[in-house]
Amino acid sequence: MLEGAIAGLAGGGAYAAFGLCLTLMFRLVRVVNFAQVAIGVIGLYTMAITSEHGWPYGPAALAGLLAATLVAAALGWVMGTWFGEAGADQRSAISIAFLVGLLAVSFLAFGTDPRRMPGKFGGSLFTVDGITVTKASAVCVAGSILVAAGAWLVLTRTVLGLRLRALSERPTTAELHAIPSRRLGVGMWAVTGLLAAAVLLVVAPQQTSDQTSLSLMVIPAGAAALVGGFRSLGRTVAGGLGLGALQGALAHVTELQQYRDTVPFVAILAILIWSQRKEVWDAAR
Amino acid sequence: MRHAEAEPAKPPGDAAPSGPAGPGRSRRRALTGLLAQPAGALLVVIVAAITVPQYWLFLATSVLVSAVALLGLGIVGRAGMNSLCQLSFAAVGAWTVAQLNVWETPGGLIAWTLAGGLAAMPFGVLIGLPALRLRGVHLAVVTLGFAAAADVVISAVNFPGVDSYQQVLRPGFIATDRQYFVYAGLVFVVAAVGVQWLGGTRTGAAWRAVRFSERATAASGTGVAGAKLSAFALSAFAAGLSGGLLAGQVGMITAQNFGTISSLALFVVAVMAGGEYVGGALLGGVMIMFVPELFRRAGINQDWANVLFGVGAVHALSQGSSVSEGVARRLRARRPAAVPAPRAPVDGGTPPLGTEPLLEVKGLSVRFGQVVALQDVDLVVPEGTVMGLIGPNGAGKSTLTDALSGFLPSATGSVTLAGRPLGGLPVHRRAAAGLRRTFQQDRVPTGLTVGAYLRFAAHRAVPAGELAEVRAFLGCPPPDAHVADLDVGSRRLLEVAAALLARPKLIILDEPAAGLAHAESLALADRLVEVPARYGASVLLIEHDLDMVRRACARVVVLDFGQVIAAGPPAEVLARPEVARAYLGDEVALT
Repeated sequence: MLEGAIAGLAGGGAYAAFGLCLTLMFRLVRVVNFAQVAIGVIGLYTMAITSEHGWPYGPAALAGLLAATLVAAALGWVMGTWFGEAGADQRSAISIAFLVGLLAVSFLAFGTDPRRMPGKFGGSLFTVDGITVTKASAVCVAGSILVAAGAWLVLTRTVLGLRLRALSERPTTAELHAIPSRRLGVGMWAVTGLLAAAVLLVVAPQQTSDQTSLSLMVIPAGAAALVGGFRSLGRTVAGGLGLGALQGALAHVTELQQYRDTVPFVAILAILIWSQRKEVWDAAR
Repeated sequence: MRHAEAEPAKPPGDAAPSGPAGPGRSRRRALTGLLAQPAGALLVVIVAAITVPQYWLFLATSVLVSAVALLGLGIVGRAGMNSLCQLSFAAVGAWTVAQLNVWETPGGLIAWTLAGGLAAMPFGVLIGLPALRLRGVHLAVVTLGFAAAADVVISAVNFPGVDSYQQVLRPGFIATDRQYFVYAGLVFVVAAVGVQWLGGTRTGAAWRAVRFSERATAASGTGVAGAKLSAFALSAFAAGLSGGLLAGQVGMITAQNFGTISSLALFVVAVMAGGEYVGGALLGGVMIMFVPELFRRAGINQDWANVLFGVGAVHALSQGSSVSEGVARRLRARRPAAVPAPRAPVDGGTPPLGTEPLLEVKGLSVRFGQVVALQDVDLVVPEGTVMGLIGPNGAGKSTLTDALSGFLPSATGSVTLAGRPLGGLPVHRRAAAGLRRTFQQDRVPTGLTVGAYLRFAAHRAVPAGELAEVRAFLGCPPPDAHVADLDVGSRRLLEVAAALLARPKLIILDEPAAGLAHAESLALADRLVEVPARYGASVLLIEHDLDMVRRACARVVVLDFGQVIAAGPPAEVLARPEVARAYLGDEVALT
């Protein structure tokens, strides 16, 4: 069980990092970005294609990161230009359209055949008492914690963070104070797109997954973000890691093994119903 | 997250204005209108079944299968909710059919398909339950989570009969693909007629009302939970039927037919085409099946179809309307509804002073954390009167309205209406007990026609004559006008008309004149004076317009800082220094 839970931390770290992207996007640009991981998938497959064409890993990975960043920025531009005034519900509906469209684009550009993903984080880091900690696990867990800490520092200690918070809490007032909302919004999309691609570069080579199942990692990521109420960065990381560990542990229970991917749904439901139990009405008055 | 704002198809009851020809003929005409389109559609299906080549007919059957699922998606869309797991419900229907086929259950495919629809309903209710607390984005995450979880389970358990290569058997009369196409057409038409018919009932109106405002829905006597759950259950039923149809069509089903991404694509197409309209559902089905096929024939990768759907949905959302919605709007703009003449003041006489107590409030207190919003309020509204409730902003008037209508279960004290204690009753039960209220903000659902809204809010069968009488009394627009096309003032009056039609014992009007011109406020005041005699209801009028209060009310109660500071005839109360002080501040009152 414990070994499974530790192994699950690689996935958990990825959920946590994607969850952070979702939380930051929801807090700062009012969207639950269902296309978050799909953007990363574009980066991942760009890396795979370029390295198949003989590029060394470093430049290929850079190309992938760049591709994801550009795609994210373009989508952010569409969102900011046409849906600047739209609410979170409508923006999130649009991100579902983005997800369906992006997946199709990914199939068009990269094909549907399974690919070998070159990676730098295979193998184990160390083994204690027969429990192996892989490099990917360590990088994901440490990475998600670092990203959360970094985002927290930027948001609370810098002028940029102050502007972003002002923009998210009072968009109109912020614009009246000459804060460039669209540029910051596009920047947020770009940064989270870059992050999503980076996470996939670490975890995707360790598992056999296609574009669809990778893109749907947005569901456990959503569960992680819900643990933090789409607000708290720390609780999002904890939620992601917890979810990954739970899934990993369940992989060792034979009866439940094939159903372990339903864990995010059960988790989502339990968390939401508990946190929203007092929301009887749609409007405050 | 919502679909683009949408209007309903005209409910059958309002399809024809009842002129001198009388309600009987208009109802007949409405019925003919309701049946003409399905009959035409069936004719098209039969002609297609004879003439269209086999290959295209198979695709057309798939169109109908998807269209049935889209009709279901349209139902939750009407209620303002998003379901990203429609194909998971379809999978339940297909699984049921496959299992009944393996068991060789008597009844055959048609009965199995119905059973599939019914089997999907509990799952719909199950997903609808979280929707009672979750909205928008949160609900979308839950339904997507359910879709993914269902995907996992379906892939793990496999469909019955797949391992033993057992095809789903069709009865002899729908054995060929041509016959099956006609059968699928019939199922679609029946489902479409059902959805249209439901849209015209109070349940259908409740869905649209819930989408616009849950509070207003409850205040007009309809339970929000029932409306949401019925929408999800019926949506799942339609999905289940569609799954059953698919099982019969292809004979052998696999988990790939019901993938999470396919559910998302279905949602995206519903947003683009407008699943809330029968035409939109059909168009959506055509797009899902024929666009990839046309691409394939043109030598273009079929994946372009989903790119197109994504772009189309983004476009529809940026326009604020789906394809069907846009068409419906354009058609409506051709026949603008008549605007009623401005209402002029007509002296309604002296406000009646009731004697018997109707509403008795004792020691009503409401706290929000440390803030005391209402403190030991005692209030009696007599039977057959119009009473004013005034006070400066923040005095607690709206809190009192909320507490009386049941929105604040934490309120302490006792409230009785005609001797019946209301404590502990939820909002819609209080409305049913005879306490109606209107809202300060515009809360008339924009998705309905005037007639459909009035019938929905009346919460009883209303004869056309009575509807016309109330509309004439307040000067409301004609029943076939769309609420979305009305100005705010007309909507306020419509809300009052709806409350009157419900024949309550007490109507609480929360600033009904906000949005009305001064002359119109006075005209409304004159009408309110007549309400107790005409409709047998007392009125508690909350209003800032003191001219209106003087004109309409026999008595006035003044609230300030959550306490009653004065009560009595308007002229006397408004002259009191403490009332002037509450409104204008200490300095002004002293000079």
